[in-house]
Amino acid sequence: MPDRTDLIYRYDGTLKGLLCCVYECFSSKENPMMILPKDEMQLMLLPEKVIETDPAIALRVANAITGKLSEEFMRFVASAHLCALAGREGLIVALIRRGFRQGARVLNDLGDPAVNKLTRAVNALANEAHLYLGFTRFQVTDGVLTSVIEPKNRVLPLMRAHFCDRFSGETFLIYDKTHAQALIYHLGVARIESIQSLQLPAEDEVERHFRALWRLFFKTVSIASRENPQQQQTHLPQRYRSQMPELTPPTYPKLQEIS
Amino acid sequence: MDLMEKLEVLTDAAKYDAACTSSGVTRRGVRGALGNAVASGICHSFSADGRCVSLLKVLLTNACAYDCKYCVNRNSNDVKRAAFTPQELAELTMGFYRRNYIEGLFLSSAVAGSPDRTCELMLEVLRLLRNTHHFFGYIHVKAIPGADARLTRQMGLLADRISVNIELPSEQSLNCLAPEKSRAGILFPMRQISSGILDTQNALSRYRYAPKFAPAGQSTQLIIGATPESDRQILTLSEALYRNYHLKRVFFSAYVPVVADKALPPLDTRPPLLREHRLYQADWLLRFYGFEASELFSPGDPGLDMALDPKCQWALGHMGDFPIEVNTAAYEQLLRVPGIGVKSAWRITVARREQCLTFDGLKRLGVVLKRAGYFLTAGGKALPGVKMDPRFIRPALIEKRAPQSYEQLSFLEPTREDVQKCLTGQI
Repeated sequence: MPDRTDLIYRYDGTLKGLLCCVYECFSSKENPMMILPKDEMQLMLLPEKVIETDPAIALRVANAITGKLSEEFMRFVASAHLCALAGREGLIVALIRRGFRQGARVLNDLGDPAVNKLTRAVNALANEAHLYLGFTRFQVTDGVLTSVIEPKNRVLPLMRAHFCDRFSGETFLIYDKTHAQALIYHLGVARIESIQSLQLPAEDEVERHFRALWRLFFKTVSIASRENPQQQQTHLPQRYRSQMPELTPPTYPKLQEIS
Repeated sequence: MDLMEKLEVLTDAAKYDAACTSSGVTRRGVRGALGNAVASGICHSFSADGRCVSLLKVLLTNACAYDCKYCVNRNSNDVKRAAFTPQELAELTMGFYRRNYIEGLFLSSAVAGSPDRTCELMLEVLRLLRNTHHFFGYIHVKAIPGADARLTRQMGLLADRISVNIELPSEQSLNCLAPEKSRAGILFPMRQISSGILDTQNALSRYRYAPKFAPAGQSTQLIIGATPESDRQILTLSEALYRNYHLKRVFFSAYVPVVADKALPPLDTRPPLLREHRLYQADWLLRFYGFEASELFSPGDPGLDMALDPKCQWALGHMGDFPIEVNTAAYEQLLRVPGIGVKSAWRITVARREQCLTFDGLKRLGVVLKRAGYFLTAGGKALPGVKMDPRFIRPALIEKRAPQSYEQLSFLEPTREDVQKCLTGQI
């Protein structure tokens, strides 16, 4: 008998929760129409089933994927879950089910529409994470580095190793405004936490000086007779620019601060 | 002179150097210290001319003893002169790096008095950064031709990449425009750096902690359009540099007229940006696509075709080798198809193991068929509507930048689809 498909799974939005959905599919012989996070609205009249997250079950599924398929497959699943792709949960679970039937090489089937869609989303995620390694700008206040980014995908887990290695002696915070999450690193320990809002302290005199120097350098290093705004736009799209000092006008101190 | 003004003068003087890559070396950070290096390189910003800003690119000083005619910093030119103190520059680099503005420092300098003295000053900056500030980020340093070999060696041990600019592609041009420099004088440090890098590789294969000399390799720059050398001469020279000196990169810099001189193009000449672009395309073919410089030119013509990219130009001259079948062609053959790059070729080889590829499948892989369509078959079939005849392909391949004229839409005029429908009887 084919698996039952006329229902919707609800999970808690984490990777562990999604792996529990995979377990549920196999144990109850179901193939849900949709898998949605608990807080997301939808307009279908199908019955819903809430999948509780159990770390032990998630670990079992993860071990099965790593053991029976490959470590690369598990990494792919974890990355795909970070993407900003509508309906990614359904695609990921379908890919895992197909993987268990046909082996890890389904990942190479780039001509398949579902695999292709996920691969493109994962590439876009990796690409965005790489761009943010360069486009993140820190502000120094009392020896602490703070930064705000507005990525489409959840890039913080992919940026973690790089920044922890590079600024190992510092204390820093990178706030992902889109997903209300922050990567916090202090005394050699990094963690990613949900933060609803973040008010950055005002820039001090030293910070203002460095920003002015950086703006000047940025302006001067461009060669006027080679000006090419189209190329600049291609490499550095507008959505990255809002938090970059060299591409935003300087803020001046308020009058009472000066007097 | 305050730091702001110095930065402006010395950035302005350094900006005509094309090299701003931070690639070629991976170095893990050190616990508690600042900085690491990533082999792929990281771009931190893009300036208004569309070029990547990765390194803090400045001169240590622009007060030059030489009088090279093409150079903005020649000593007979009337420009503002400035010099950083090593402390200032080291602190500026640290401040920028900590805010993640830059990937490291690109340090060059005009010849301050003598080559040896210039090297000593630059070395002081490098020592301050590496030994005092414990900076582990990327450093690209310019070797100064004519300096003592021991000084060049010390620079290479502290920096990641070291480069010597050839600037002018032939001996005659060099004699004419840069009387103080000589070809032998430039090639000597290049040879020294190249053998230093090879020695390091040998030593590292034997003991892990051998000192690393210029781990990110060596690069150079050639100026395009200031002197009459042909594209063939330039590419043959680059190929020889890759082979004999193991260079990582040869950069091309379209000549921007900054000073007036009888021996140079007039001041209102526009920089030959398209030519520079074509040379870079050809350079990629040499480095990643298995081409040789001699293949890219037909016997009578020493220049690259400005209307077509070099790979298309080559393919049109070798139509006998095409079309090739995507499902069976070797990776090396795929690389030679116009419009297929390293990534597309790799994706094709991976995907065709799973299923027989069609043109729709290729599109889904992200292979662009605008050019490739004329040179491929998929499953034995050509792309519909394509004539594989060089006379038709050439005009079709020439990139159309803007529409020639606006076409009035008409209900009566038959469109291409209408004609096809008539032929297939779908109307």
